Formats: sequence, C-alpha cells, structure tokens
Amino acid sequence: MGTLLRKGLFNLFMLILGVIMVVPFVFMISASLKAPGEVFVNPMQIIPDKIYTLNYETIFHHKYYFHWYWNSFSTVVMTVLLRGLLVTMAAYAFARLSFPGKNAIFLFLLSAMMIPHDTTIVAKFMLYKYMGLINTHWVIILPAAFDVFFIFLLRQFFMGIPKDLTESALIDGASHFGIYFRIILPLAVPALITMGLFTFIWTWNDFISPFIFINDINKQLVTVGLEYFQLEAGKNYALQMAGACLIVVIPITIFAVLQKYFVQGIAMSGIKG
Amino acid sequence: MEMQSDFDSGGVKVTIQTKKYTIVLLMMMMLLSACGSKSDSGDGKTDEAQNNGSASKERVVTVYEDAKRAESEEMKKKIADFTKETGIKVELNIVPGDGVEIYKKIDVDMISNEKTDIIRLTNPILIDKYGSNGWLYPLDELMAKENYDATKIYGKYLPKFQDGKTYVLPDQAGKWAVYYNKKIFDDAGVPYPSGEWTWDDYIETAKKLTNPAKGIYGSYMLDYDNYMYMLARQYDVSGYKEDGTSNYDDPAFKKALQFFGDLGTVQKIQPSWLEFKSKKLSWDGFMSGDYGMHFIGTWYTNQFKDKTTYPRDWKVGITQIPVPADGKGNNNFGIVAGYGINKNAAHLDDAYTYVKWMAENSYKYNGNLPARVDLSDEDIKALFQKTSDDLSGEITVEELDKALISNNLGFVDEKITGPGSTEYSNIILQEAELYLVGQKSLDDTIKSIKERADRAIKDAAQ
Repeated sequence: MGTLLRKGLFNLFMLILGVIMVVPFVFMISASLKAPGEVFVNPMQIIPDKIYTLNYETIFHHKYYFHWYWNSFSTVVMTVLLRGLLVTMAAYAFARLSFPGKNAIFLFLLSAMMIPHDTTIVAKFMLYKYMGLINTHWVIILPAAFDVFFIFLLRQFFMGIPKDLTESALIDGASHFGIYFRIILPLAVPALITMGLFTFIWTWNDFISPFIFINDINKQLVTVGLEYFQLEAGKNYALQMAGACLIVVIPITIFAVLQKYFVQGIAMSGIKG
Repeated sequence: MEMQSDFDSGGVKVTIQTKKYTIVLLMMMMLLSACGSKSDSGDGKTDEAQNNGSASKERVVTVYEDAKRAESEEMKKKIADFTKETGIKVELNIVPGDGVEIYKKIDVDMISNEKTDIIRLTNPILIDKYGSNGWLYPLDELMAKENYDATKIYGKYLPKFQDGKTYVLPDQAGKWAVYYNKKIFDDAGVPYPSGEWTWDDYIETAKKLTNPAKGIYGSYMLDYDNYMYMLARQYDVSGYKEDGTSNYDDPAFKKALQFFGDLGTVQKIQPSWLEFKSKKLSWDGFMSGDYGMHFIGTWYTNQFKDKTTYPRDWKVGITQIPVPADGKGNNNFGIVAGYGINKNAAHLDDAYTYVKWMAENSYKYNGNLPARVDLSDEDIKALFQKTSDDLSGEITVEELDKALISNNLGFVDEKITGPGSTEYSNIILQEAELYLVGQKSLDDTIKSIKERADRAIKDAAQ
C-alpha cells in the first residue's frame, strides 16, 4: 500500500512537472490564435472564443520571415559542421597527442568558460568590427565554431576510448588523421550527435549575438526577427507567438528523429541541459 | 618532444577516403556559404545604408528606427515627403525590439563608433543620457550658420544640457490625459468626467465604476517610473537639490509613492502592483475594455485608431488630468522626444537637415502634440481635427482642446532628468517595488532611494 501511495505521489508530482513544462507551449499556440489585444486578457482563455488567423496570414505573407528562417537554418548548419570539425580535432589533440604546455593551454581554455558572455559584448563587437565580420553571418558562425565546453566534453569522451585501439592503429601505420576519422569519430557518434543537437538548438535560439552583431533586417536570424513584430509600446505577442510556433518545428523534428542518440549521448557524457 | 615521436610513429598520411570526406565537407560548407551570401545581399536596400552611400554621390541620411515606426504608413509618408522636398534619400537602420530594447543595441553601436546618422530619443532620460555621454553632435554651429533660432521655435521644449549646447531638436511634446471607456460609464450610470477635477474626484468616480463581480476596475495605470512620483511632479518638485544630490527625501515624493500604492491596495480602484505584475498585465490592458479610466500620455491615442489589433465594442472619451485638491499642483506633465545626430555621423549636413525637418513637421503626420511654440491656434486645431477624423469622431476637437490645451493646467516634465537619471530611474523602480509589494516600509524605501540615487549621481559626475 505504502509503495502504491509513494508511486502514486511520484506520478502525481511528475504529472504536475509535466504540466508546468507544457503550459508555455500551450500558451504559445493559444496566443498565436488570438488578436494582439486579447493575449493577456484575464482570465486567460486557452481556446479563444474566436480563432484569429490573421497572425499566421501575416507571417506567411511577411516580406522577411522566411528569409530570416533560411538565414537561421544556413547559419546553424554551418556552425554545426564547423564546430563538429574543429572541436573534435581539438578534443582529439588534447586527448591523444602530447605536446609542451598541453595542460596549461587546456586550463587556459577552460578558464574562458568562467567569463560571463554579456561582459564581453563590447570587446567582441570591437574585435569583430576590426575583422570585418559585423553584419555578416560569419559573425555568428566563426566564434561559435570553437567551443571550449564541447572540447572539454569530447576530450573526456575520447580519453575513455581504450588507448590500445589507437596504439594498435599507430603500429599498423595509421596516421593521426586516419585514427581520428576511422576509429575515434565512429566510436563517438552518440557524443557527436549530442554536440550537434545542442549546438543546433543553442545557435538556433541565440538572440543576443545576432541582435548585437547583425544590423540589416534582411540578414537577421529568425529569433531576432520576431522582435520586429511590435505594437506602439510593446511587443506584438500574438504575432511573435505565431512566428515562434513555426520556429520550433525544426528543432522538434530534429529532436524527434535523433532522440535515441541524444539520450544515449547525454547518458554517456553526463551533460545536463 | 613526445608529440614529435607520436607523429614519427604515425606520420601525417592523408588517405584517399580522408580526402573524400574532406572534399565533401568543404563542398557542403561552400554550398551553404553561397546560400548565406545570397541572403546577405538581400534586396540590397539596407546594404547601401551600411555602406553609407560611399559608392554613390547621391545625398543620403541613415536613421535608427524601431520596427513599429518603420513599418507605419505615417513614417513612410513622412520620409517620402522629406525626400521629395530636400532630395535626400533616407535609409532606415531598423533595430529589432520595443521602444526600450532598441537602445541596448544603439548603446553598443555608439560605444563602437558606428556611423548611422540619426537617433530618435523618445524620452528626456534618453535625451539626457545620449547628450551627456558625448554620443551626439552639437547642433549649435550648424544652426548658427543659417541663423536658425531653435529657442524661438521650440521654446520651453528645447532640451537643455549642462554644457549649454544643443544636441537635440524636439519633434513631440506629449501631455497626459485621462481616457475613459464610455460603455463602462454608461453601464454604471456615471456621468462622463469633464473639465477641472481633483484626484479625490478621480478616486470617487473610479470607485463607482469598479465592479469586482464583472472583473471591472475603475482605473488603470502602468508600471512606469513616473507613476511612482507623479504627484510630486505635479507640484513641480525637482528630483535634485540645489547642491546636485537627490531630492527624493522631500516629503512630496513620499506622499506621491504612498498615493500611487494606495490606489491599488487601499482604494482598490485599480490592480495593485502585485496583481499587475503577477498577472503580467500589459501596457495596452485598457484596450481589453475591463477598465473605466486610463491615466496615460497622449501617445496612447493611436491604440484607439487601430481596430484591427484592438477590436472593441465601446467608445472612448478623453478629459484633462486630475490635480491635487490643495490647488498647488495644477500642472499637466509630459515628455519631450526629439532627434539627435550621432557624433560619428557619416552625412553631417544632410543629417542636420533631417533633424530640423522632422522636428518641425512630424506632428503633421502622427497626430502627436508638437514641441513647437510658434504654431498658431489654427495649426493646433487642424491637428486635433485629423485625430478626431481618424477616430471617426469618437473624440471631438473641442474635447481634445479642453483636455490638452485650453485648461487651467501648467506643464512640467514627467520624468526626473539630470545627472545619472537613467540609473536614478532604475533605482526608483527597484526600491518602490519593494514598498508596493509590502516588503519594505515607506520610510525605508524613500531612504534607500535617496542613498542609492546620491551614489548614482556621484558616479555619473565622475
């Protein structure tokens, strides 16, 4: 009986947690179907009396929305590819190669993780401007291509792969590139997919970088693009929610397809979202 | 040395398969990069703005605007008329975000010496901040060259700065009014407010309108900083003492904060601060039709014109703002908004032409009250007629005139402006909230605001 009660309470707790997680999503869909002036009317109606489709019509006929969508998609894919290449190579170097100052460099890189992103905005702006990256998509892609957190994560993962495998390959005449491509990467697929998914979602959802570093409306990414939907003295939440509903389609689809690897990767690497 | 031995043992051999992977990867990157560059080029229109016209000789001026204003028909018409009249092309640098958020982006641009020419500053705190930070180009020389007498045109609305220079020409001097929902008045059998009235009258009227069973409040106010000290401003009590320190220990500020808090918690005529915040009531909440009266600036008139965003089955009225019963605070208040030129502007002369033109003509397009003191009564009446027409006669010219011009009220700034005013404003909001939700006593709140504001003013001076 006690076990049943405990189980029941646990299920109830999990159900409440689940509802809490789902409420913002329901609000997003509900608000997208309301007139802008009705979004925050109390008490909130989950299913509005009158379905207001003008928000979606506005989105579908918007001059820039799908342009922003493509900008986001291409930027994110580029970031995932570049990060996949650079970060795995760096992680391999830190995990398998020996060179003077390796640990010092690694610690130095790790210390960069401790600096809050917001405090470096102006310095980054000046640097990117000097490099001619401001107002291009490279200003998002290049800085994101090298990520210390994932270097650390993959280094740990690569170190967990038995050295015997790579040493045997070396004895058999394989190069480090060969070992990296043929042995390490295939064994690290779940971790790579986890990195790819996190990179995709983080870059897809990034607001501050495109907001600060991209100026032209036609170059913006979709997250910042939503901020163009405004009323006189505040956001047009109804229109923003309609845009947001379309934004989440891609991450949800990718997550659904790669969920198995994603969970496996998290379990193996110990990432906590 | 170990690294050397590692490579010695393995060597850097690139197999055919590795080459294939690399080529495929590079091709994918180039493909996406090409797609990205296609989007980069876009329609080319805003790229020109970025280049600031360096490739062409045409006269151009670049302007920061928020998305709402940039998309509005009145803005498009205004820009078209400006270009037609001056031959100067306008390129908008549209900043995402609302009227507050856009300045986070513009701040970074200013620090980084960006060259967009024009910045519209929507309230006196921003005007003060941008002028005092040295981000704006002084207009005095440019005005002197053509004997442009800004004081004669803008009078008391011309923003003043500590160094005595002119950095901003005002295009708008909004006032405050009470908008009311005629349906709620009719349903409650309460006559519409008109003419002079006191805050006591306002509270009594709101009580008659408040009907908790129907979810109706008689009054609605927002969470802006100036609501916390509106009564003090009506008495024209300054936020600074003569020695430059904060004047928030003046009893008028204490009384003002208590008055505002009591409207929700004691009089119960409007949502309390806690209710406002916890229910996330919004700036356009009055448009829901659940509130009898809304005390707000005249910029709000535009909401009543927009029946697509705010479909409504009730009519709106307007009347002048209430005043303290002792007769010593017979003032309306409002804010001045205006245009300044970026000190790094790429097109200085054309930017000056733009600022001047917009300051003189904006009111003809957006229905806001002009900041010009040289206009005739007929000019103002014509402006009110346009507003009345846009509202299909819901508010008449006479009602607008009585509420905003032909009354017994003086005019004072609604905001506390001066050294460190941005931080000062943040401090008031942070500390007053603690009082309004019952976490801090009124005396402690006032003391904290005074102490923190003094520090902020001192820091700003340094």
